[in-house]
Amino acid sequence: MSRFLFVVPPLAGHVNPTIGLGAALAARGHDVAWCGPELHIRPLLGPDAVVHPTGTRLHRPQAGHGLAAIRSVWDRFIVPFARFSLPAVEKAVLDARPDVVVVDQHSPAGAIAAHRLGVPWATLAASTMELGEPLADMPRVLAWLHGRMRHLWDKAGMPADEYFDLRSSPYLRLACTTKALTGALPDDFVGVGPILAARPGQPDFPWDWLDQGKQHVLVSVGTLADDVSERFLREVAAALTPLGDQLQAVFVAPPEVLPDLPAHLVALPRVPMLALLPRVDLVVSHGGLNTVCESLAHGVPLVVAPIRHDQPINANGVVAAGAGLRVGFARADAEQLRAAVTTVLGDPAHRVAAAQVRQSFASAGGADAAAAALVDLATRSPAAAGMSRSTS
Amino acid sequence: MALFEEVAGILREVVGPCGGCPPPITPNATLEGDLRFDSIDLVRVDAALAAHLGTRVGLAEHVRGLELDAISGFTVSDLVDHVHHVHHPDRTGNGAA
Repeated sequence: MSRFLFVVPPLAGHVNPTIGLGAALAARGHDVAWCGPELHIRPLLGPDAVVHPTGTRLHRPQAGHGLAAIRSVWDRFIVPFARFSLPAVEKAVLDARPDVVVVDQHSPAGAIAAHRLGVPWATLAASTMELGEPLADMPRVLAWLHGRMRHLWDKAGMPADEYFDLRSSPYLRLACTTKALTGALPDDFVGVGPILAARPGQPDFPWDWLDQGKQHVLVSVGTLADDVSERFLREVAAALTPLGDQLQAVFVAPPEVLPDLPAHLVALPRVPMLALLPRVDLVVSHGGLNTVCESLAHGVPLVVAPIRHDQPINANGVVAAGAGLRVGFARADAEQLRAAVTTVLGDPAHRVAAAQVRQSFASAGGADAAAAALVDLATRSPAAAGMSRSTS
Repeated sequence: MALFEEVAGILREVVGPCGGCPPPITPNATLEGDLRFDSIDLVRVDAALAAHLGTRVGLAEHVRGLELDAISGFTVSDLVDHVHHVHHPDRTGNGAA
């Protein structure tokens, strides 16, 4: 039996894969625990999970798009949160005595703590933002990004000559995607595909409302409420309004954002995503990796309107796989959106391509493959041998 | 301002109507922030400029070589300056006639 500690940021999309992975490890008889801001991660993990809390620090909300959003996520979240949480992460590693620390790519405190304490650690990529260096064609931007990690290393008092890319463990690198979706996935990452698991506290759904004679569209653009998101949702609603004879659509959105919907459209603040997807023919999404992978894992094609971070990468991956279309989040109007939706719904090729990506996910093995790789790492690298470094 | 109007026309074509409204293409509008440009848009404008002017402008290459803040803050006016510099080096006085 081995012990595993997940170091995660307070983001649902990054915590969710560790739930399925933790369950797979526990089913094999191993101990699992999490380290992160309990206020945010406890509701996702449920009451029984072992959590080593880091405390919570207020961060400015993430917004914007493009490079400004990438600067924002590093300067306002990843770097300050890593500096704030590093002492608590080191304490968690010392207390939990894991054989392997599993470090989210946006929780570099986990990489620094594991390295300093001499514990083997694995990288877990829950987004595609750090896979294959997507900023490489902007050399000064790439230098800035590496400078942010270097800054963290130096501020943690780590030896300059031991610095390494904090997003890539020398032991094991796991990614929640496959090359079929993410062509840039480096060869030294194990693409295990999405790690899906039942989540605690899923909402109910009006199943009787679904008309078996119609196609079904799910519209989900994340939880961020702002003017641009609301505009997009209203344009999608306008796009789908004349299509009542052929489809029904569920918008994951506060109902007040979409008042006076016709009878074949409904807005719900939350839906039981994994239970609903087997009944869905098309997902309209902002392109977060979780939503894209959950759709494709059910063989459901997408219309992707990317906003920020890895969403443009995922949108391009969907298009390259032939499993859907990309539209402009800020620009697409009802007419363009109606054309995209009817094209994907009307052309079986998209569904065939989505099924091929689903097959790549099934072959990649998901939680079982990730758990097997982690157990292998724990078995070949006994942590006790390395627990000798100074923590000062 | 003739060049500005030419460039603005190309930008309007690439950007298209934004939620049904023509985008406000002013000298101070940033491509990334105000006009919601992504890397594909940059390449499209680059190609449209080359077709319109009959010469390669290297816009995408130029922008990608800048610092992060300079890329995020790259304005329509910066774009016009770049085109002017590349396309009319003789008028700036630092290129061959």
